[in-house]
Amino acid sequence: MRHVPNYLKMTLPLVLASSLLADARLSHAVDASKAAPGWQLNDVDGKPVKLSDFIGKVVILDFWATWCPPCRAEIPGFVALQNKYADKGFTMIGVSLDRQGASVVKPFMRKFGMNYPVVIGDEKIVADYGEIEAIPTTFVIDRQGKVVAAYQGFTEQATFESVIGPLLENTRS
Amino acid sequence: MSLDSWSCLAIAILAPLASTLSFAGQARSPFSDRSHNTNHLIHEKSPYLLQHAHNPVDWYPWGEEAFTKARKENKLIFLSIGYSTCHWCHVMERESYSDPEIAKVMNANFVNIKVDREERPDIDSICMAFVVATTGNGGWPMNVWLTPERRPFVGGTYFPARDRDGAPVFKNVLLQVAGEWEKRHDRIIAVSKEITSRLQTFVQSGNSSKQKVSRETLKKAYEELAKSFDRESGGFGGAPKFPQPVVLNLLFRIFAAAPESSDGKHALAMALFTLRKMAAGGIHDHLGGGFHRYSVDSVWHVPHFEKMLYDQAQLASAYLDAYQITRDSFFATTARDVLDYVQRDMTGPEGGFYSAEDADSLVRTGKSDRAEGAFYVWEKDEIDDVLGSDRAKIFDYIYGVEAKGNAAESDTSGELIGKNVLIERHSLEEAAKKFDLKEDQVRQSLQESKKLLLEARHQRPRPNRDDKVVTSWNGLMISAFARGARVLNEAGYLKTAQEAAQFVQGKLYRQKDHSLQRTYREGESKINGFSDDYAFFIQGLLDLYEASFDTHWLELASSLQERQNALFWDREGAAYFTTSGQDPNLLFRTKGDYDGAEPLANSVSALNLVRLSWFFENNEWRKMAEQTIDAFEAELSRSALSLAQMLVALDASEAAPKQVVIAGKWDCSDTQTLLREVNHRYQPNAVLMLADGGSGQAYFDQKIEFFKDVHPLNGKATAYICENFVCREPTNDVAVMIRLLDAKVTSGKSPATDNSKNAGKE
Repeated sequence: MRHVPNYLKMTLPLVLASSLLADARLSHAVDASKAAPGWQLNDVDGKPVKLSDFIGKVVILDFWATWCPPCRAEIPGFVALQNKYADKGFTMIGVSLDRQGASVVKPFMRKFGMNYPVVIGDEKIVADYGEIEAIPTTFVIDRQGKVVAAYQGFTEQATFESVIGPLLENTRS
Repeated sequence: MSLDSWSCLAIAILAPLASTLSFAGQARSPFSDRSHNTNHLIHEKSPYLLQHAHNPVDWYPWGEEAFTKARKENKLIFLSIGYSTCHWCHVMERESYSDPEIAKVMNANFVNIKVDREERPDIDSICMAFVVATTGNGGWPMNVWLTPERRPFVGGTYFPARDRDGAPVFKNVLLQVAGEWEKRHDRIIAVSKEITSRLQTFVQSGNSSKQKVSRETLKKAYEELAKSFDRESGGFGGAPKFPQPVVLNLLFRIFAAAPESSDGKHALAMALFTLRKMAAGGIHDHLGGGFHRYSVDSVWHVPHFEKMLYDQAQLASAYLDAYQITRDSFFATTARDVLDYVQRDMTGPEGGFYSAEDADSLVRTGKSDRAEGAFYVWEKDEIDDVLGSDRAKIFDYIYGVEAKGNAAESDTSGELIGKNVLIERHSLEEAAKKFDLKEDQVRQSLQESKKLLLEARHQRPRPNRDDKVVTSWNGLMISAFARGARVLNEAGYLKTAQEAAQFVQGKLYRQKDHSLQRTYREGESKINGFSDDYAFFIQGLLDLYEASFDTHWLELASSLQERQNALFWDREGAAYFTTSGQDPNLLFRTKGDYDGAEPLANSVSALNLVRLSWFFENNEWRKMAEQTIDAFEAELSRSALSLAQMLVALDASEAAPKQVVIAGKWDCSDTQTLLREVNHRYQPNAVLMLADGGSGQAYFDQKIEFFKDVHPLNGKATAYICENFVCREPTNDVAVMIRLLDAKVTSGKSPATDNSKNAGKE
């Protein structure tokens, strides 16, 4: 795993529950327990991908960009999660906010061995998910398509794992 | 302790600056007795050592020749340490070392060694530890007797030549020590061994703690400062009053961490008030610019007049901070005043900065009388003659000039009878009102007056200038000029900073092993650099990169950091020793424990390591920064304020850094527009990089992965800002960038963070 600087370990997960909802930084982000806004976007090869393709799976939706150091620091963790849980009803999805789109994202994916779908974000998805101003911002979506947690800033793989674990055990759809 | 058995040698030590002592009327030129004598110091480069080269005392420089002589003749070493702008060092030189009779006693009984502490802070710090431990007091001149094996056994500071207030007279002390050596030779050897070993244990047991320094320490320091703050005159405590730039650094940090809190506001208010009072005071050279070392009173009026490079550097930087925070041009003007003085008077033709200007100077050309401050003080008649009555009445009113002199209250020596030390007593507005003039007219008159008086002052004999180039101090000054270039948008300051850095690189740096030398004067230095030479120069280079975006300086900083780590890091206990341990003639290694007039190398290093880790995402260096801070935990819990600059490093090490990358060509106007806005702001936890699409970008591409993916968007300069491990959308829009720069940093104390810390432990 890529070496993560110590200071990045001071994470700021903003679990959308209880009092933390009041945190200004995500005050207008999508509400927990609400349905994740649907979307259809192209992946780095120009193929359309939509959220509804993944109905019934636990999804981590990661807004990121190649130039963003804390986003990059999370990626090895996401690759590991995909390896570990893809066959248990889980998928990672990256939403790249790189303005240059696939031309920079595709080589990056190769280099980092990214093993999950990445779509090129647009203004609509940024607005729909709460006018995302800062990345990484990451949403955890359950099998029913509801947002159960959201995080802003570098977050440990273990934190994600602790959230998706119980969701994966719940196999009812 | 066995020191008790030496009560026969217990020498009451006089503080070197004991204000009750008056030496008026005894002044003789240190250069007046040059005629016949020449001793072993004549081949030295240090101006301070050269001042003693014609003493009848047979001085040796620190080195093998003297050591051998002491061993062979079985003589004690008399080690005398001072520096060129030390007033009482000059007094002792005039009274005692120039006196043939005293010299005879010294030469007959001792091998006499002179050390310039600015060249050899290592020897100085060991002797200081010894003198403080044995007498409870220390200062300069510092005089220590060593056995032929160079172990100290008795010492003190200033000794008068003649009986005065019952203080031990130097000649008697010399004879007494010599007599003891004669009679109790073996006992002295035994005691010196014992003392050395105790001292070593004591010094080395300190500053290797592994306990975490708590953020509460910052609060404690703040409270101590608030308590000792002088509401009337600014500054902290009473007389004498030092500028304490490290304290100002700390106060600005405390403000920036919580600008809305009452502590934050008060911290800022204390710092700004102090800076205003100092700028108005006599400690400030109102005509020539720059600051004197400290004031003997509590109102910043009558200073000790020497001007030290390290003070100019740190004060210029403090005024720049104040300007960034307040946007009040007063602080910019004062910062310029200091930088312009250093550019004009303290910068050598090759770019290096000189060390200091003396306090004492000849009272008149051609006469041999010297007096402290003679170059800087005025009689009212002189001013009236130079300015004519119209200008003089305004000038005298504003600068508190009086016929009977204005310094009587602070002048304990009587040297300033009838003299005026300029101090801003009234504002332009008050003067305009009093003389029924427009403010502009007063301003103009004052400008003319200053120019005329400065010209008149140029006719006076100048104080001596110590023109050796000290690497560490040059580092501090490079920082100040680099920051001045950024904050004041002044290309000339950048050039000065670059030339000084080139000078140090050219003359004081050895490329093959990335090592530094300590000092330069008329040729190569013989002394290897100390930890502070590395620390301060690295700091200068980091600031120089952020002003010039020449990655060469960042690379040099980085290799010097590696070298400093290799030479000085305490592998057993963390933090840096001041010395490399390669000199067999030193008794032991110390780390220092005090951010004084010069900051501690460890404090500056801790901050350098934090900043380097921000640049290069180097976790190793970050850890070393934390270990360095923690090593001083015991010292900090004893006395938080003794390490103000260490607390600055602590604040930085706990902060979420703001990483600002501007993508664009340096010389394009859109890039400059963005940079100017960044540079205007006080953001002590920010790191600024330029993705220039050229060699600078290529450099970072190899060091930090994400840099390859940073480009100008829409063909325009673009700001990429990440903070608190979150990145904002890149922007070309200067207004958006300003909003992001000014956005409040999420406090490390918010419940969200506390939660996240718990979550992180999973």
